Amino acid sequence: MSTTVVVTGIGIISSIGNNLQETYNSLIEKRTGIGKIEILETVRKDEFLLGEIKFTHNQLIKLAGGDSSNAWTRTALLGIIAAKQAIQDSGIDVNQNISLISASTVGGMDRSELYYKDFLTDAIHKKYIDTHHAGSSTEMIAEQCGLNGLITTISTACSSSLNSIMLGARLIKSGKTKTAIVGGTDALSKFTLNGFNTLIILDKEQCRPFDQNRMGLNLGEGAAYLVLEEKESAMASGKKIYAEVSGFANANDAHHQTASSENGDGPYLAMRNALELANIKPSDINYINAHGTGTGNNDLTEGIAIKRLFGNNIPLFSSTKAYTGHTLGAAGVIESVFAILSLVNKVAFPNINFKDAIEEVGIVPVCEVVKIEGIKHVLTNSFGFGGNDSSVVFSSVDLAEDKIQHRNNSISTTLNNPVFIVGTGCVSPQNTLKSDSFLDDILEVEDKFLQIIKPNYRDFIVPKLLRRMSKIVRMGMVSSSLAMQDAGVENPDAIITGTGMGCQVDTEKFLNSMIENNEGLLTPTSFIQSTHNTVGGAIALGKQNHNYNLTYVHRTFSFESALMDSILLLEEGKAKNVLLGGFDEITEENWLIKTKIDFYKAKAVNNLKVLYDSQVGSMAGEGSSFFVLSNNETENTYAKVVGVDMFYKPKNSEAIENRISDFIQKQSLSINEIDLVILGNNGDSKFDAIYYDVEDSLFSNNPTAYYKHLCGEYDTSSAFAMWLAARIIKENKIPDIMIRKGRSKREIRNVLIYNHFRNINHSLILLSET
Amino acid sequence: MEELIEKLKVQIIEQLNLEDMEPEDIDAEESLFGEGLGLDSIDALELIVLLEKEYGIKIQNPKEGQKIFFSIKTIAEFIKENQK
Repeated sequence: MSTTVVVTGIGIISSIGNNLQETYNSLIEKRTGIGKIEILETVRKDEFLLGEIKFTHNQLIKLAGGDSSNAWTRTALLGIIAAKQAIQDSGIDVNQNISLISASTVGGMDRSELYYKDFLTDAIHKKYIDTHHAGSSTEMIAEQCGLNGLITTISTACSSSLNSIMLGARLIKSGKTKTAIVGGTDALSKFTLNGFNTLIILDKEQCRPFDQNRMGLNLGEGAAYLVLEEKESAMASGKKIYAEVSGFANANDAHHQTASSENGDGPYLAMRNALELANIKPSDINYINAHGTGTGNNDLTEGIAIKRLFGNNIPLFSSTKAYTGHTLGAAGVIESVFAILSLVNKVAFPNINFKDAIEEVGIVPVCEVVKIEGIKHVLTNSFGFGGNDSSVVFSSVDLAEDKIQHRNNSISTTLNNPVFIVGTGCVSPQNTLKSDSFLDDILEVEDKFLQIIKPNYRDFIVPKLLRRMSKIVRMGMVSSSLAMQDAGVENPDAIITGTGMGCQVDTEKFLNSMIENNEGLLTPTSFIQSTHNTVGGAIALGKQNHNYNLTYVHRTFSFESALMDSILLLEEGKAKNVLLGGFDEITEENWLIKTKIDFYKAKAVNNLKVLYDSQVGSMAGEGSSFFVLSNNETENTYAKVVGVDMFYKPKNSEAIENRISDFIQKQSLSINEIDLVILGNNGDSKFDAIYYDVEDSLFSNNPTAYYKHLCGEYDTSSAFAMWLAARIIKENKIPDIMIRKGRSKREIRNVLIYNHFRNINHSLILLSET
Repeated sequence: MEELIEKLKVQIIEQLNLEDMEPEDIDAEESLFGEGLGLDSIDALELIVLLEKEYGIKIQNPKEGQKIFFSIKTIAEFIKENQK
């Protein structure tokens, strides 16, 4: 039976209110939160307006109930405040294995940009080094709220948090979780302010969405979270129900890195597909909370897309960006809250600052608070860099009742639908480009970190495109095209990627330049390319692929989350094949910074002897591995993906062993049937001890292998491990260089990959012979 | 003027990371965008910063850029006119 997903709790903080009631009051009183810069320390204080939350860092720590000695980022604090409200509002019991799916674009940048030069030198502020990555705020939220279920983080630029709502709803619909807290958080930073300024799309006055004379956007900050539950159980427990999450979709514009296409293809597809999933007609929509950033490009193409879908019957619509500013990764969920408020209070919110319609489209938004009697369905849009476009439909719940049977037809979860790996491509510090050899010659180096063997990029990418691509994008392009070639797939039904740190080279370039030039003379390329979904967007652009395109950015859960989503999508029948990838790049600076907190070894080491090295930390590395997953077995099938699991900060070694045993059991296998266990040992003896423990206890009779001496330690190295496992199963051969103990005499049928990051993020992937 | 044009070619190749190109590959009168060199809107933004950084000239309205950045020659002329 199909499942209906409803919203039972809301938490929100932005420049127009510290909670739901204040937010609503501001909306109906037409009170903007955009004004002079008072909190952000920037040389551009008098030049731009921002939608700031007028609390200092220390005030936010108090509001969030945090211990002042901890390393808080503003992004995390905003997230904690909003998530706590949502939990309280819904009254859920946090101990019930609740999933947290969060989103952020720049993560902990608000602290990193203050201390970056210090990280590289004295590292007085080193406690903030590990709060930089986008998953950090998610973990702080989970811990502060006492959550113990699945956690992951999405980063697809400005559509990020609509995508987290979508994933939460899908996880509930598929029965994988009962309750999910979904949303996103982004704090203002000099990085984003200056970044958008290089694109010359910031309005120096209050932004004017959908106005003929609009001059650009204002940036803002904020966080919001929704509690999503299955309708039946929410009703059974007598919960207040705000709305149903009835439709959602993500599509790619595949037109340009930052600009939308002339026909608004991506926005059109996202809206159309969301309506289709909700099983409603365009004329059923009563209000649209548009993306409406106030830039020349967005509002025109969004207008065109709206006209394409709604024809002459355009529903009441408005952009609320002139209230909050553009809150980037949080915008999707903040505006979802507005959409829900609209539904619950039966009103459309005004598009403030609007005067004249855009000549080319002539559409006029709602400019006053308008009552909508009988409001049933509202739509909200969020569009981001990399052509990443998402739409979500919220519906009033009484009506949802009689539509239930129709509505969920389009998501039919045929569980246990087999998922096959039918193509692979890998760029790594080893010779992995060619399919006719499998670790026949091994690269042995004595160095600070392991770097990829550079492919001849020109064989894969046209020079014109190459000029803007940093290392990570290049290796992503090469390995993804190898995987598609290998699978004989021209254009996949979905592109799903994972990256722990994203585009490091570009992020560092922009950050250094910003700090060194005191926010002056900055250029846009490195800023644009620094978004986490650059690789996914570049692949879509190259292939003119308009399909689902998501990027997960949660340290060593990044690739695993992308894998989980891929499996889900194939199970739902939403895709016949999925292009899945995991990639990270190492830079000299990133290596140096992480030696300060003992993550990486400070002195050169021989990669093949890394397990015997006595320095603290691991040997850093990099790489990109891509796969084509399919529902259908082909002649080129490598292996079957049987399952993936992630768990956060297990209590002790017993908890780890139980989790691994349970995982194997859930796949209807016994430990004896695991023919090879690939472990993530990386030469950091303190944490390698965990692998030795399971090797001695659970897997005392199983052959084991390791791989990080080949690729180094990086957040998505488990993608490399999966590439190895797929080849091992296909060729029924374990390269000698990987073997730790016991040589399997029988055929290799089941291979388990167990990886963990410093005993924080643990993950399991199981592949089997077909 | 010739000297400025040659200098601009080198600077543009560097700023836009046109790895494959040599200064002699660019015709000073050829259009930089569209048909010619194939530059796009992001390159235009890079060129705005180049003018500010190397020649101290600030372009306030990006729409002005279209005319100025038509070719290397038009950029050189613009610099001549506007440099103090």
